[in-house]
Amino acid sequence: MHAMTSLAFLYVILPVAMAVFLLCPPVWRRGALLAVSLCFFLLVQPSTFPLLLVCLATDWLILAFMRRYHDSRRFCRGCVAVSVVKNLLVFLVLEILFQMNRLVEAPWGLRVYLLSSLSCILEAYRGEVPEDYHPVSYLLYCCFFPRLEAGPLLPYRDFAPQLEALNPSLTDIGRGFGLVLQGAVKTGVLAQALQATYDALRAFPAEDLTVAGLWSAVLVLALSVYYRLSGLSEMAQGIGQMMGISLPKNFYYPYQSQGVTDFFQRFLITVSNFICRNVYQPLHAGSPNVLADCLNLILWGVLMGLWFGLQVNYLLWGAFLSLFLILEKHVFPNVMKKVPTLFLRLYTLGVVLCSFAIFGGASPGASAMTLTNMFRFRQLNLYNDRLVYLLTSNWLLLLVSLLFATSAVSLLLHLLRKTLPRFVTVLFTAAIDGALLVVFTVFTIRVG
Amino acid sequence: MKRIPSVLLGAALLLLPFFLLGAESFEVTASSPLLGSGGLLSYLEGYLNVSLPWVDKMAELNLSIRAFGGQKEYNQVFICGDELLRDIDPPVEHSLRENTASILEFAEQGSIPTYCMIIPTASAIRQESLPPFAKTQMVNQKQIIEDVYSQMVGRVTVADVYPVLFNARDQYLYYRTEDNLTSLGGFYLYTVLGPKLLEGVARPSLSDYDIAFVKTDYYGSLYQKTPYKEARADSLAIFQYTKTPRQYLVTKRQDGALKTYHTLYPLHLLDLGREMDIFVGGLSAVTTIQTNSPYKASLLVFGDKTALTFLPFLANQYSTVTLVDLFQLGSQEYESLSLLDYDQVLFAYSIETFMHYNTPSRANRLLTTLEE
Repeated sequence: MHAMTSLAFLYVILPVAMAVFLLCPPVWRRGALLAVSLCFFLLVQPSTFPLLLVCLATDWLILAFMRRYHDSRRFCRGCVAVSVVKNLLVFLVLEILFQMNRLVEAPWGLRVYLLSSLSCILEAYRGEVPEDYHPVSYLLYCCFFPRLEAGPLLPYRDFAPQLEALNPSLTDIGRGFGLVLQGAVKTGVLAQALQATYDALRAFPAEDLTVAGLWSAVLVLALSVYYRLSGLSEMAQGIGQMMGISLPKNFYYPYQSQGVTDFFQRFLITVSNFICRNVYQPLHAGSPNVLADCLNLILWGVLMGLWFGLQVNYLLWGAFLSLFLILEKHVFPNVMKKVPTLFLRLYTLGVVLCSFAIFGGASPGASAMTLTNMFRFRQLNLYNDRLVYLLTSNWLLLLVSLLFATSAVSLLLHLLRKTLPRFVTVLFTAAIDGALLVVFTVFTIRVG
Repeated sequence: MKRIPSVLLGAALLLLPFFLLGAESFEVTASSPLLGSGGLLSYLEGYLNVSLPWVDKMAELNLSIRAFGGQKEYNQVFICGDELLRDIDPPVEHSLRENTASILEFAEQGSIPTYCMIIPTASAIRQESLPPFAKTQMVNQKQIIEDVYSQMVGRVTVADVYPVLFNARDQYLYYRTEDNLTSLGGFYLYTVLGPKLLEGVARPSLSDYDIAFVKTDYYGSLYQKTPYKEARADSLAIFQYTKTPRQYLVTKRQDGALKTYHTLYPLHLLDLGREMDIFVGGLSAVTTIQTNSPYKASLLVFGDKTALTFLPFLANQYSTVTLVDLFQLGSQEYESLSLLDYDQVLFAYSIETFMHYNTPSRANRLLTTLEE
């Protein structure tokens, strides 16, 4: 369970945070928000609070040096290099320590605050932000509490101006809370139940492996990852909206993509944009060299995998998808335009599911075995009673998960909003929000 | 208009902490390790888990939605209409091998007629009640029992109770909410075991017993394990032997202490909330039943709680029956036992004990008493 999908967060911490925020005069709200963010961090993981402060303080110093010596391009480049190396080292060392069981738990929010502070430095280097950073704005940008779990990432230049006037309307608060509930149900209910189903599917002994079982497992894993991350991102968006801060979308129905290129524009959108802005574009920079572009695309995929953690399978997941990026961009660009939408979607779904077979493996060898078995239609049974039992035991979960992973429900609701009278729409929205709150509570309380 | 739900929701959320703080005081239970190192967060979570309004209703709704969504298993317990069936883990090969080898060694070195009975669980006998498709993932208990027995042929006399139980599966052989056989189930075990152990004794019949239901609203351990509360209550029955009058002296030895009863069914334990202990006083390290039976033979039983179900029937055919729970047996109790005092030895275990724990193999420690 994540800290943000606990009963304590929804029923106590969020209301208290909102109360503190709204009761403050608008001029003080930025500071109040920072205080709330830091207090929340202390609540969740006080042991790594000094790490957070040291990392941000170091980068703040680097920014100060860059501001002072902004005329020396070489010096600024050196500062950027120091920051990149520092942040990468911190991330790698802590990830390695965690995987060697030297750390009790993974440092909370590490990826987000390291990448955010790095983003500040890179934007300053490129001259995209004003030189006089406000320290409170900088700190709030790096450790705004709803973003720390799983993003979304956004440039400092898009975040900071919003802090000048934090005046959410009641409509913002209402809509934002609706998003928070949506996200909470996605990550606290659906993602957890899907993960349990995936664990049960993976626990099948070798003699009970079937082709349908393996495909079901990767599909369930893909849905679980999607709901976990998109739910947390929506909660961040919702809380941001409640506080007058607009955060970008991080997911847009990725499993409806038409091509792997489209997939990366719908899955972890802000992470993909961050890598494109800060790695791919600087390296590529209009170069016609196809080989260099291919290598950059593979690097892009590997960095996307690194977002999930320092495991070989995650990096291979990204690299695998990059291969298809390369094929779509350099080998079959014209074919992609001619293929009907349905086949494009099926092709993308197939590739993505195969990538999650790599993602979910305990090792590259295990992933290769899984991937091979997924296509052994002659050697393995198609399905068996054990699989049928597990799937029928979770039919409602699977149906709901598949349905809400598509835009069908969203389109239907949009149509209803257009055709129904306004007051009916408002009541309907309130009823949905109420139902989401009940569902979240019912499935979060400990039963039995 | 859009603002009204926002205002109401916002007001409700702001008032909720005050409402909760006004609730009855709450003791911090074990903190949730899932919520990181934040102790306060864990405290709040635990508090809300008991203090939120309508928590019980929400727990019921949780269960209803899961059941509607197809889930039929909680904490390894299947929900099958009005009864609960426990799922058991796959066998531990090492335990199976060791227990079988130990019993064979005991039979060879002990030179006492040795018998073995492995008792299947309810999930095997009542497998037709399991949820659809769940049967195939269950452990094949029949096959495991047959494999063990095939290794014992010629050296240990086995009592294969699986067919008898399976044929009578529609009878009330297993409790609906407790993980054990009923008294009727124990009687069926006795119908197979008795003729194996006792030559010349008439085939047991239910007409030899007066059956009395001493409790009809019992909810056992399986009921406590799941949030499912629609299971039907169990009835506890005692079988009083009426064919010829018997007097009983039950002696129980546990941690050096001694307890005695003059009945096989100490019913006063019902009032103490120890319902399952009314059968021979419950499972202790050593339980000895002495009777004024005309049959002067003595039987030593190594068993678990399933032995309590058939012991009241066996006891009528022996002058002394001793049930030993090797799991609880301490060094003091070991010293009080001697194989020389017994004419027959029976190993009677639930298949779950037999294939997961090495308890039966500890009996070989008593072989040294034969050397004295």
